[in-house]
Amino acid sequence: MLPADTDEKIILLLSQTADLTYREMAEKLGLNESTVRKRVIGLRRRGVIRRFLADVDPEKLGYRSRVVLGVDADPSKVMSIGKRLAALSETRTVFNTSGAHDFHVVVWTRDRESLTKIIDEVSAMDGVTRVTTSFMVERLK
Amino acid sequence: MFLPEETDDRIIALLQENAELSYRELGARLQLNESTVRKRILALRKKGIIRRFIVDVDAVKLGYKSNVMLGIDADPSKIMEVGSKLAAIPEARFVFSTSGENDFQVIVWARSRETIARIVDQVSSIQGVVRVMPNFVLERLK
Repeated sequence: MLPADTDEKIILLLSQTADLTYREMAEKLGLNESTVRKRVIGLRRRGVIRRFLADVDPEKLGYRSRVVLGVDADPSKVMSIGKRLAALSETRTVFNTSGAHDFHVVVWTRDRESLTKIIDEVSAMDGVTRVTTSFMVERLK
Repeated sequence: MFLPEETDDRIIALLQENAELSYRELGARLQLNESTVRKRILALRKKGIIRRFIVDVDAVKLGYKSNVMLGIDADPSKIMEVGSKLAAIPEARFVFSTSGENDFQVIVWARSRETIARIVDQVSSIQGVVRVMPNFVLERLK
């Protein structure tokens, strides 16, 4: 097995559940415990694994309005808008993209009012030309 | 003093940034008792609010240099089938059904532009898909 394949297998498992000991991971992957430990440490050092985190159920946590905002911007203002989008506490993920929109922003709010407030706030940013919303109905994968 | 719900919110906010802390370290950071933190986390897991612990991966550093968000529109009568076909594509890492601009948002990780082109073709040819809009991810800012 190539080392890259081993890393890939480890990442795939940890993306499903990171609540395992090195021994348990090794058993599931058919690898040595010491190999798994070394690789996980290597993946962290290289920044491939950004962090370990809790995966929460947004619905049970009360976040009933979850949307993907497509944000279009004046080309000369893209950098500053990106920073401002990332600085909003309600934004979960911010991608700078090229295609239909300049940014794709995932926002979770507890109610429609807070969502409207965020959309207003984003629309009012200097250089933002358009904001479109897609409500997240269900995560299929 | 914090209300119980506020305590849960604070614990969750921290665990979404860093789930590698011991109960003791969590307690110290949140100015809570170690035993309070432990009890609350167990309760949050039991209630399914915390579903699991996972890793957050940098796709580019893992070698996936071509990442794209596909906005997909589908024939309303075929939404269910299209959704399960999209989820079955190995390169599709996240699949959301949405309402608004598109019917689905799919995040694809690929090692090359060629793979992206192949997947866009594959998605376009799924029965019931009427439109595929690719958005290349230039950078993840958050």
